[in-house]
Amino acid sequence: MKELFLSELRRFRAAALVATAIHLVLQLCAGRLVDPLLLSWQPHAVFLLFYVLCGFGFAVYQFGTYRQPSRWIWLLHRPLAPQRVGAALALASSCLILLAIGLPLLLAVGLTDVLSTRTVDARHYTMVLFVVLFCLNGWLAGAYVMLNGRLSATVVVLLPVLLMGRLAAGADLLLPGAICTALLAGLALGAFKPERTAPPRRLPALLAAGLPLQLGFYFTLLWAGSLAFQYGEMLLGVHPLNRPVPPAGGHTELTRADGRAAFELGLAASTDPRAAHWARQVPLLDIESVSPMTRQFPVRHQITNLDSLQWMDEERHTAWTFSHDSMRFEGADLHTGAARGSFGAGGEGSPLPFDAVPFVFENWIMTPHRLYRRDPVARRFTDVLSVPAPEMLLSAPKEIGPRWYVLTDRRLLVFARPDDSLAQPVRLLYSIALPGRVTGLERVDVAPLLDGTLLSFNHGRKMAEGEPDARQTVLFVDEAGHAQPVADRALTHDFAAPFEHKAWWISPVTHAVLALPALIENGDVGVPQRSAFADIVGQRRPPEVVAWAIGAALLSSFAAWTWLRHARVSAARRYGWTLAVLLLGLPCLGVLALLQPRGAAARAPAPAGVPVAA
Amino acid sequence: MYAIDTRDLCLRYRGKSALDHLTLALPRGGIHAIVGANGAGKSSLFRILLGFTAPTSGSARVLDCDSGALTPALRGRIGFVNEEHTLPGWMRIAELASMQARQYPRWNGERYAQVLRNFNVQADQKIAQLSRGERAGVNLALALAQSPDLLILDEPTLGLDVVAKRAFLEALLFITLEEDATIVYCSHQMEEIERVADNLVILERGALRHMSPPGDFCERVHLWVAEFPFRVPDLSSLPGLLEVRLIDGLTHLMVFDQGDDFGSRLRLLGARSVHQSAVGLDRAINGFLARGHVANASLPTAA
Repeated sequence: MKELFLSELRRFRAAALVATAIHLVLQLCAGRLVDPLLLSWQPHAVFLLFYVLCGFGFAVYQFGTYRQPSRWIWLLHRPLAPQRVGAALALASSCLILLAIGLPLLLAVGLTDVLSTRTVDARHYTMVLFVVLFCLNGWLAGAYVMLNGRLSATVVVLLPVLLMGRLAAGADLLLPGAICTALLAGLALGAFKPERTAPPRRLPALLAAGLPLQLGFYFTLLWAGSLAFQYGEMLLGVHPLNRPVPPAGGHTELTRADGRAAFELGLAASTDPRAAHWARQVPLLDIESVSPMTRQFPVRHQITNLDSLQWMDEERHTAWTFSHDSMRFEGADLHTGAARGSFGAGGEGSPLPFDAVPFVFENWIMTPHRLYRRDPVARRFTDVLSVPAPEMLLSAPKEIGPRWYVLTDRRLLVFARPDDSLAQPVRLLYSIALPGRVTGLERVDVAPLLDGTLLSFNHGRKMAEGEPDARQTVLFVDEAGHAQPVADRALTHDFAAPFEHKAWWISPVTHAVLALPALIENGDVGVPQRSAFADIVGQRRPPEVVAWAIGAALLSSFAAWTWLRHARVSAARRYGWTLAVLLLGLPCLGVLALLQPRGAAARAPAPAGVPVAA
Repeated sequence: MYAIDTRDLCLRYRGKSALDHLTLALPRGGIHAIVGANGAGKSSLFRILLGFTAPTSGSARVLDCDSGALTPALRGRIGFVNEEHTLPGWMRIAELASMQARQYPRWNGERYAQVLRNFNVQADQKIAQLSRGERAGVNLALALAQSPDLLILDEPTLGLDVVAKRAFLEALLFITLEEDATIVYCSHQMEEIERVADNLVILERGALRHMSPPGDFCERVHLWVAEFPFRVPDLSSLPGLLEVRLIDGLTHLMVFDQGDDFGSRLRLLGARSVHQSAVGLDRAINGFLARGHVANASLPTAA
């Protein structure tokens, strides 16, 4: 094993050294142009994808040569267990990835930390480990794809993206990263056998191979199917988002409508006797809207940045960058790069750390429970308002008339507009509980009246993903803050029910597993994960969708039975596969097709007779 | 005790039959030559024997072990040299030999050096710098040094020049292997088969067509030359007919397992004169393998 490990290192040592040098130069050049550590998650995701592709491409080249029949025999026909041969190659490749990817990144982060005043936190060092892990997972996925030899095996590439592509703390990501590596390593090493494409013989190996593939096929079917369906609708000119006039009564119509039109749509469905009067007033009113500014807050020590955690003090030529380590902003001169001290929650020079990593928006600094306003003249932060945990702020104040409107994940807070100096604490006039789930909240339209305020809540944001209770609710709030329902109409479905619930009927079991807390990034805050899981699993589906789920499961299991009809498998395995496909749906059929090749068809006649003598 | 023992072995690949109910038992010891046209199933058979392909049906045993369940220890007792001589081009000869020596428990360094002396290579040369013949030599030296109980050579001299081929064969012939070591030698080069083989196995279209010592096989194949004064009659019904060729107005018939009465049959068909002669292994095998291609072809009219 050691000899094969060293042999593989010898094979790629020159290429790895060249790649290391090029990578380091690119990192140092990029560091001169921008601050790579400060970029938001979108460019980071692009770089991460590049590193995954590097690992994948490396494996494709490596095993593209090894999988040639004669080379494969040379590699595996030796007095060494195939898994040990695979482990030797994996270990050597890990070392090469560490050298070519990890070392330049570590040097770039370390040099930035030591030689510059840029903010470098412990999380940035964790990021190096994370990138290496990502790249290694790309390599493992590539190794499996090449060894399996079937194009559909590429679905495993989704696994690292699904399990590791999230905005979480570096330490929290190591577990899913390690799980992902373990799954992919099991998959790749399982394919390390003389007959590469043979199905796993033992049940544990079959399950280890099937689990990541099930996830891969599930998301491939979900996304590719959705794209294909939507492109089809676009070609036919019936896609709700792609039509000049959206379907009447639906979420698209409500979202495209401006505030006035939204109120008109809501009031038209009202039985309140005042509705007609308000409908006449609406065109004359100044209507504004409040929307969630963020649906997710940064997490301390997270691997990347939700948004840029930096603001500029143009007057003093200082860039203030938030440090996750000190939980304060750290200043650096824009021209010389010299350190300019820190900016705590109390202002410049204050040692008071923020209670959480903030969200920066213009002069507003928002943490999940607190809102600050930056005073550029006094160089301090003013603690404007707070909400008690676990309630979370979702927007900075929106000034509408003499009031401030602030959204949280539970309420719409209405404050009296303070003076500009914010010398006095802001005064909460009243708050209105959100009439629906915050995850579905698109926006709140606000129409100030002489005797109160009309509010229209658009709760259809996740309607196309099957979330229930998509509706428009119009409330009248009097000056004392008492809310009276004016209209409550269910939004009609822009898409057919099978499309909206596609994530469920494709595989209800997989859908339930993926709803487990913190398994897959869902991008939302405000809903405790436990109840979200219970909601998702316990959600009532339309009968039509249930019929689709049952039909898909039955058809898939029939296809599985047909597929296995000529396969040389035991009856137990045939029944097991058919039952698994029945339970796990269409994605499991993909897994079956990949792991269990079809058996030979009827035998062809023997060749023409020739003399036989033995 | 067989080195290789297959029963009713079938392999179908993409709808085509590569092995067709092959039953083959090669006893331990000696050199067994396997010949057959391209596509006869030789390489498929070796892939199954080494456990790299599962048969569609039937069984295959190597050194008394099911070929699908070869243990690493057993793999250490089976050497394999293929036509491509795929060795890691990035390694030096000495590094490669050192790696193999550590992995193979019965490594025979003396034999490795002895075989390698037949080839003009240096220990510090990289594999990628070697010619095909030199690579074949290194490959053979590595395989023989493993002291295998069974050594499979799959067309090892394919693409080698005359000098390299001779060096390869001499290295193979003059080396002393363990007493019951078995060599399975697959080649299209009949002169090589004649030199090395103790036993001849002929495969055609995935099935066993013949197995015997090469000399015995040659004794059973004869060439008859007949002169037909008029039109050549339909000869396809003649027993044991392998091949018919018309050369200078004379009909050359290659026949298998036919005695002197075959001449009488030719005379009955109108032959004015008939002559019988022995043939070499090359012609005998070619004729044997050509049987399916020409037997039913219509014959041209005699000049």
